[in-house]
Amino acid sequence: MPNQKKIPNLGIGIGFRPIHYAEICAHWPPIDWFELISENFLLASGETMERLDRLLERYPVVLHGVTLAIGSADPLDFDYLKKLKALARKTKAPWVSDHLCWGKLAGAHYHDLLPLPQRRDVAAYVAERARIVQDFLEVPFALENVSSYAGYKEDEMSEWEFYRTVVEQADIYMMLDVNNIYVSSRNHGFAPKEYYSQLPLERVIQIHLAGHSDYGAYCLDTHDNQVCDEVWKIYAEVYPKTKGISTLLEWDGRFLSFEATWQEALKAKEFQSQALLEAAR
Amino acid sequence: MNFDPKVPSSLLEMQTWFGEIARRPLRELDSLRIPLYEASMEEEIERRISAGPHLKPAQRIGIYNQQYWFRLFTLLQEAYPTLIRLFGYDDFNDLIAEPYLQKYSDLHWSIPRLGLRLPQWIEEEYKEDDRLLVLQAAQVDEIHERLFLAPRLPLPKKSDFWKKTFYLQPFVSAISLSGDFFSFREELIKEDPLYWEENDFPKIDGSQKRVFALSYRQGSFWKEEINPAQKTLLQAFEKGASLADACSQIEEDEAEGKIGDWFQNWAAKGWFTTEAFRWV
Repeated sequence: MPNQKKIPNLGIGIGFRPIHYAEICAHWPPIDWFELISENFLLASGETMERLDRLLERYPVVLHGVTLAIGSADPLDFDYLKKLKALARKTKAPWVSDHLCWGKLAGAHYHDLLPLPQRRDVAAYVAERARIVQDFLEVPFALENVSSYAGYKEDEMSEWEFYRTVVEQADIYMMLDVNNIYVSSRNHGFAPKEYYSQLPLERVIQIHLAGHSDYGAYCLDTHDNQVCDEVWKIYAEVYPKTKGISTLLEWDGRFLSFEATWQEALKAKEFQSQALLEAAR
Repeated sequence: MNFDPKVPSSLLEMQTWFGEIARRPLRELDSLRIPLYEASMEEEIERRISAGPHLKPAQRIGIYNQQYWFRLFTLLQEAYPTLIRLFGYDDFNDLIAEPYLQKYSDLHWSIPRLGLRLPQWIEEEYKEDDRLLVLQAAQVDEIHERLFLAPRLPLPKKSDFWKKTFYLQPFVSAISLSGDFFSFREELIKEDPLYWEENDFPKIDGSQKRVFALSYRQGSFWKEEINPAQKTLLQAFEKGASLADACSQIEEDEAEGKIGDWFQNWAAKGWFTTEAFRWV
């Protein structure tokens, strides 16, 4: 059984994105930690690696991938995993994460986080692959819940049951994206609490916060907006139940200045304090 | 095809079906900018995808179809700043990006490599009168993207120099262009793509053929004019060659006895490695 207590609480972090590289490397702001998109560094050399080396001297980092395609019918890509393992070692990342989805077929990448049918046989298939990945990487491995826009008629269980089944069978961790819970709740018509109240929160090692785009009839996970009130509400309810874990704000489009992005992430501290106070009452 | 031997067959079948829809070219869109499908396809989708609180099954899967193209179009537009200005957004998407992505699906997980075969596609498929200009624009854009992404491979040891096969470092490339294409490109990318929908392109005199070596180092692109024999040599090293093999590809009078100097100059700049590298 994974032990959340053995995983460090890094505090509040933001994504290390190219648009902010220059500002970060010029001022080394007092950020608790950074999340790297693994793929941005797996093939990097020269200046990018020099920049990473300087970052690693100053901050803890974790690795978050987008192309593992854990649920794809294709075989696991061990060339990719070897590079990921080497990067995890170099960065001393305390954990590595990717998404509970598929996104590759017959060698071709869709560059998207596509939804899996929520069936027992699919959960077992994904769980076995996730276990292999964690064993291979030799660091704690977490899967993130994705925002989804469609469900299958063949689904045998809810998204949260599927998520729970995969991580428990694989004996891995959860990287819980509370914005994705909200986006999926709007797109599928369930209450967010129904989702997170049925998760094994002791397996959550990191929370993602982000903004989305609301088109009325559906929401899209765009990471280009402030975190909305409903998502902060989910965060405030989930965070105290996790015994204190790392939180990260993702921002990937319509970028703000580095300082404004960091200020948005720092709002998490207020919600943490409020939530802990309420929990103590 | 190579699949995980343990994949449930129904999952493989579903991913094949879903993937085909996600990759369908966008034609007619509804008021939410979600693709519309013909009736028979909608029926098939309804058999597999459940309805949402506000969207029909076809609209729900259509979001993935829409996002696939929006995302990849945007990536190619960013990677090809000259081409996007020559064509404008709509024509670039319809005439270049969509048919390219239909022929060459992305076989690498690294998103920036998505467009690396676009010049090859233009050579194979683009037959319009402006073919040469379009091809050069694509080649120059692609070289900039490729050199920027290129790794630095280990430099050869001194003892390697007369024995081994050498490769050009992936951050160096040679190209022949008609006229002063670089000035043309510079003028073009100073303005937004929408500007060029209303204004004439800068003039380019394409009568003279010029050859360049491009490299990316210390955060900048460097270009230097070279002669055709130097280009032949550099391209031989791009594929991998010993110094003797590379020399055998040019006539002695072309080199004017300067091959040794050229090679030393390039080696001093760190342009060689003994490791082969494949992009895709």
